[in-house]
Amino acid sequence: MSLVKKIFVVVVLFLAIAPVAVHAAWVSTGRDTQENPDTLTDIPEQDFDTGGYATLHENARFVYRWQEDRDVLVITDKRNGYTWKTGLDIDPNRTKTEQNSACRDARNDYNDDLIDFATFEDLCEIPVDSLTAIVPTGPLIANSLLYFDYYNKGASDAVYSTYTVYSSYLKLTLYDVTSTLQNIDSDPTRWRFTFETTALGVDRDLTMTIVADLDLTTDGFEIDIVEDLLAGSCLPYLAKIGVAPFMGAVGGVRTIYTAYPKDGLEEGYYEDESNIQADMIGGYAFVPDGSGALIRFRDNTVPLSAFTATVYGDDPSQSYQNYRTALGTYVPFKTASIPVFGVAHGNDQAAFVAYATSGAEYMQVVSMPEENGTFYNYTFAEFKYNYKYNRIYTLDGDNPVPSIGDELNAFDAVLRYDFLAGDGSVDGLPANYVGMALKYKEHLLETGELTPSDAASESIGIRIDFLMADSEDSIVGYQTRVATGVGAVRDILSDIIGGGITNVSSGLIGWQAKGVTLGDPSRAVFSAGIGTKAAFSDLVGDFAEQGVDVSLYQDYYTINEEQISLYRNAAKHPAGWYGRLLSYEEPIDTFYYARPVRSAEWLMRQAKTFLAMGVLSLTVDGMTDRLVTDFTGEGTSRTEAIALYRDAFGTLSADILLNLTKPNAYLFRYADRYLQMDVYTTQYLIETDTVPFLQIVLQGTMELYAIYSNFSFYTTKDVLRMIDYNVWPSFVLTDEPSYLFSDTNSSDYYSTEYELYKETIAAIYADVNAALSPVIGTTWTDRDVLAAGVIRNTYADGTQILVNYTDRTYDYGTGVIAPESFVVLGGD
Amino acid sequence: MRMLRKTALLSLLFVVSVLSAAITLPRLAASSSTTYTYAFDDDYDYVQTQDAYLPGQTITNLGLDSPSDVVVTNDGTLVIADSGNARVLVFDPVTGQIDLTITLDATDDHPAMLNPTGVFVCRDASAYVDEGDIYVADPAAQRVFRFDAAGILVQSFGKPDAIMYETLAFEPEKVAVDKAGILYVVSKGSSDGIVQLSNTGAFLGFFSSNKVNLTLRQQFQQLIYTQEQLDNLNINLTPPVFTSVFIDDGGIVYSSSSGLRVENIKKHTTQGTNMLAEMYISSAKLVDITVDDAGIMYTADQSGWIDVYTNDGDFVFTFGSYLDAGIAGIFKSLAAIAVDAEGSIWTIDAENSYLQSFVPTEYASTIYRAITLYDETRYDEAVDLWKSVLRLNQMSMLAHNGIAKNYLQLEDYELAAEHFKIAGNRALYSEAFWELRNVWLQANLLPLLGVAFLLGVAALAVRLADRRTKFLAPVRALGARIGERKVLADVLYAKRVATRPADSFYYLKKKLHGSYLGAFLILILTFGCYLLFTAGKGFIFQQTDLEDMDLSSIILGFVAIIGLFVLCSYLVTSIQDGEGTLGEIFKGVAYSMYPFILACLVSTLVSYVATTNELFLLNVIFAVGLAWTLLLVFISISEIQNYTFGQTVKSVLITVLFVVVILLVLAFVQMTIRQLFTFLIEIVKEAVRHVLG
Repeated sequence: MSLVKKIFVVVVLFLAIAPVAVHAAWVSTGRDTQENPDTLTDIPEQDFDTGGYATLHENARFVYRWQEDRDVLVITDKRNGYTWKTGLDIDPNRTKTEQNSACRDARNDYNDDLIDFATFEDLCEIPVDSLTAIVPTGPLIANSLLYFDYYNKGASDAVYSTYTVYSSYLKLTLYDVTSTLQNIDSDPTRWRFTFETTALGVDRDLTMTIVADLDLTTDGFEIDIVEDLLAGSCLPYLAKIGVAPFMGAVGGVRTIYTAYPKDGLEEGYYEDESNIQADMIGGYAFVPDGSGALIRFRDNTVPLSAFTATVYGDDPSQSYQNYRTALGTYVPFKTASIPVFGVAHGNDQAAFVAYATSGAEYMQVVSMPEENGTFYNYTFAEFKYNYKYNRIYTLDGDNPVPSIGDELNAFDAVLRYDFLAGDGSVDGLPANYVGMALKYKEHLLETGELTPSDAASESIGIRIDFLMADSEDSIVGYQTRVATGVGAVRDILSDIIGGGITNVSSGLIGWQAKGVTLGDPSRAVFSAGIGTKAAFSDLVGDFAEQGVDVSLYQDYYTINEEQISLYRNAAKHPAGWYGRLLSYEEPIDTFYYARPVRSAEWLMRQAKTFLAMGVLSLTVDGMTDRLVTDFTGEGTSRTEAIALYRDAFGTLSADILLNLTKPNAYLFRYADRYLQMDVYTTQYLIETDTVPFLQIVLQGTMELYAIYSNFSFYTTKDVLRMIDYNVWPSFVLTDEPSYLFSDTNSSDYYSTEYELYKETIAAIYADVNAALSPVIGTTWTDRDVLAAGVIRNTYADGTQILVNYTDRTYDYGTGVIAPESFVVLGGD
Repeated sequence: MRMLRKTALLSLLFVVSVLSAAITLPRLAASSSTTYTYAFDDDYDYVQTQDAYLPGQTITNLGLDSPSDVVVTNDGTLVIADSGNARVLVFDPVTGQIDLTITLDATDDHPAMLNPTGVFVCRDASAYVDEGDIYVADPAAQRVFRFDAAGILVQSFGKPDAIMYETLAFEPEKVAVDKAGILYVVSKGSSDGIVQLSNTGAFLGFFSSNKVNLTLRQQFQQLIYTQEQLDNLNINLTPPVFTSVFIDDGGIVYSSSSGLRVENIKKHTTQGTNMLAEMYISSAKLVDITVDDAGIMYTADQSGWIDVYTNDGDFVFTFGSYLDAGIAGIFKSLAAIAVDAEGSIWTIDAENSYLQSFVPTEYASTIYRAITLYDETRYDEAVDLWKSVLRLNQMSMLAHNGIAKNYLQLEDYELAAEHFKIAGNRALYSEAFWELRNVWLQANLLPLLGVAFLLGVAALAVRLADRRTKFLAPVRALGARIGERKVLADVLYAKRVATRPADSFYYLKKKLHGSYLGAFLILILTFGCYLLFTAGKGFIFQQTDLEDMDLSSIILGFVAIIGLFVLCSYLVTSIQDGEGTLGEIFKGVAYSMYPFILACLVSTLVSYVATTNELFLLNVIFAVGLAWTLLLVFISISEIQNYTFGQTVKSVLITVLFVVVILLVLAFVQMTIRQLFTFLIEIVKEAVRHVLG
């Protein structure tokens, strides 16, 4: 229900929730959004009548051409005159040697007065990309529409090496490569690109055929790598297929030629300078890291690691070892929960957003910074078909045999590129990350993966979770530590509601007998020490009458031996052992992964019990943001696991609300509340900005709750971030002090006692509600940076929220924003 | 144990692949932090705590090449030793601009600056140095260069003109300068210590050196091996080298070293000795150390750990990590550390060549303020701050300790004891407990004595009355009837055994007193009392928590020792013409346990009222009980087997040896069976693999 908006200015002098110790001048970092990139003033134009470009198709927005020699698809956007190419389109024959020769000839002709100086300049001053010096692969990598990696075993029974083959390989080089583009069914919008290679493998006797169908759409194009059309004797060794790695790439190092005219008796001459960095144009790549990260085009002066993310998280079964070690020293990398990436050139001028509509679960997004071998910034997607692992034959795991998967991952990889132009004034989709997010959101809405939600309340929600119990070692077995009983939950929630916060949803963690770590996920077993089933039912029912949703939390993904038998419940790694997660925690230090079939089964079984108890929702963790391939028996692939989960949640969503912890994109359809939403990224060094891409996509379709404010997320700046990112606050509480859990696996809940957070909860809720309640039910349409550290979020009804992260007052024209504060303007 | 755990953690870090970072336990998402902060829990194990620092600025665009040192000036600029580019930069992190670039070409007077690895900035002027002077250590040039604040060369210090430097190399890597202009130089590979040079470059001596600490095994080898054997062992007898040196504004010299079993952090006296010799050091391979204005020490470890200690050397927390993934706050090669006036930490990653800052959170800042207030004896204010810390982290043992120390100073002993107990600080809990006991005794001793006196008088009166009137005869009769119950009598017979062993064992042997059941019950009682002593002492003396004990091992151990001794004694004595049977030996051993039972009980009880000062009392009680029991066992063998003293000694020694041999054989058999099992499983799996391909 939208609010009735009126024009008002709310200047909120931001009360310090807790005094912030940092008194240093505010400096922008990679955790902020920087100001807009530089405008492209010189849009390059190219004559496509020469140079071997064939026009494939033209529609209202785009002209599609194909460069036959280099297999480059060229898309000219009529809206802004900008041309995108799936590769750099570098002529591999234009090497330094060639250009030197051309310069010499031109110089000689000029000195012989056969040509004038202008012609000498035109013929000589053509820069040569340094990639041409990487013989023969340089320009071929940069031009290729596709490439694939395959595993190659040496003559001895040694470890598999990985080799890469590019579709733009010249003939008579390392591999015999042929590539063709053919029209499909005389439809000018449909083309088939076939990429065939022979002479693969140690004995150079293997072949591979990759077929990609190109659909030229009204928004851009789509590339479809159909699994059934992959062929060749090398197919079992196929590791990855990458798509258009250099599309939108910026940078490069060139050799520059400068012609000099005759001067008196001095003859004309030329000079060349190598390793001249091309000017970086303004712009960035967007990668789906956490809430969203931008990687601006920069000339890094040092080589830095690339960004790599596996969409929907790494698969512990498709990994080399059958175990992972959770050292607990660094924060886990954020997952790419959406299969999206993008590139923007200029300042709201030209951009594209690419997303997988099939095969997302096997997709990886890679962004290479400059200062790597090619000196380009480039971002692309690849799809994983196979993996290496250590197969084990001994009890102790000694002497494993390096192997590759017996079967390829079976999926069709469909990657869609949509182009954006301008500042959004025409179609509401600016050529920047906001436009990318809105475009992707449009796609999800069209396909039904997202549905606009009706705002049920005039004030924002707050998530209050309770950590009830966990187990620690005892002299014999384990003993359960209860920090919050059912009665305490009732008292605390009543107190919070009594304080004026009514839109509360709550998840009870560790409600089951033996607590959160040892509680059996396959059944609902209650204990009197924590709360009987009847007590929980009463609690749920009583608060449901007040409109407060109390649910029972469960992680259906990570299990341990003390909790449940591993036999037929734990997922197996292809090595033959159960996949394990080793940690330094106590009392349980080894965890396993539940088989997807079991996760779905346990979810349904427990849900049945919960529904009978009268719950309004389910709180689910683990299986919502992680996938595992199971090699037990016939096995369950990632694709099948997704289907299982969608089926289960789909069945449940008809009857109940779903509170999902960081759900991946395939569960967006079913999520009513998104819990523990990332508001930061992994913070790769190459990432220059953090943006609320995910929040823009999901806003208005489900309730979004931030990470727990208890844990280093309670300061003024953190509250401003919640307001900026349009996420609602959440807390995890206990009745007793949290040091009760110091010898349990929940020892990282180091500050949870309700009495200590009573005032903080009220204060943070008040501030965030003041800012975000006016925009409940309206759509987030734009976000821009007014100045370093000052953000403006615009909503469909005209409301604007200005957030000032800096320690200086900001004058926005009609008023000022105090340091570390926010202002809500406008509205209907 | 702590060092082993940290070392294990660190060594595992080196073999973990990047991909493992993405799949972990469902840990709580820290805010903008990329690493976790760890402090100690009550068992002095590392436990995660509220984030102390959050990543600040990441500066990658300075064109650095293998930078190796950074310091902060008075105006907040950073002086960076950009080794790979042979230059020193003065960088302003607020404006993002390089204010000054210092390079140096060779002249006749000095060589070029080739590879600056250490920098130091004078923060105060004196007669010998100017504020802003920049000292640069360059091992390749074998010089320490002194530049003024504008980057002009003022002085250059080369190899000292001293006899020992005729053979010693002078390759300064780090430098610090005091107000007298005296240089403290860490020279590359120099195991002689920190070189001290005068303000004119004259050699003053070695300020401090590290010792070689050999393990027990290495010491033993040194004792008995020949020189040739020792040479083959390659024991490193060279002391660990210093890695960095720092001088604070008060002129105190600090140094860091890299190596195990060495004082990696030193806070030097003027003579060069270490004021903090006993401090716990969290990381072993330190590369740099710095100290802020409040005396808080910060160290950088090669593996990416940043540790923080109070000025007294108490460990506060540690954060950071190693991973070659290019993530802000996680290092590939942490090379240097500095702290600015606002408390932000600045670090250098030498391999990725960038600067990373860390901003303290309210949590860390509050801790530092509380520590400072305690040092300034402002205890009330410190208590309030520690309470704030506890609000943010209820598991903070540092906060519990801090608040307890303040309560101790404020003479609120009850609260002090409560918090020391939570913090697991037995030593200081003992102090607080002593005070509480003292207060209690002062309040109650006189009345207690009075009551005791009155009770004594009453007892005497009752006794006199009973002698006349015999009114307690029924009670005595009841007692006698209870005492005559066989089982009870058998068990209580152990008391007689303890006081009159010779006769008692004889009667045991002759089955005139005691029984197998009684012996069995005594052993159960012994085990129970032993368990109580092991697991149930008062807090001060109970070092291990009940949950951390392996009950099965304790039971097995107890049963094994008693059982094996009895069995082996029987076997040995039966071939040595002993007269006793297996059962008699069993009874003899069991009935000897009375002193041990008593000792366990009394020690346990005393542990609840004693302090650490009375530890000797507990030890004496336990030792006496144990010794007495062993003596009784000896006597039992002698009496039951009818041996002479010599024969008894011989029998006992052989029995003990026999027990050891049996234990070794059992261990060997267990290992062999396990190997056999493993072998069979491998054969089956290998066969399956070959059959199925």
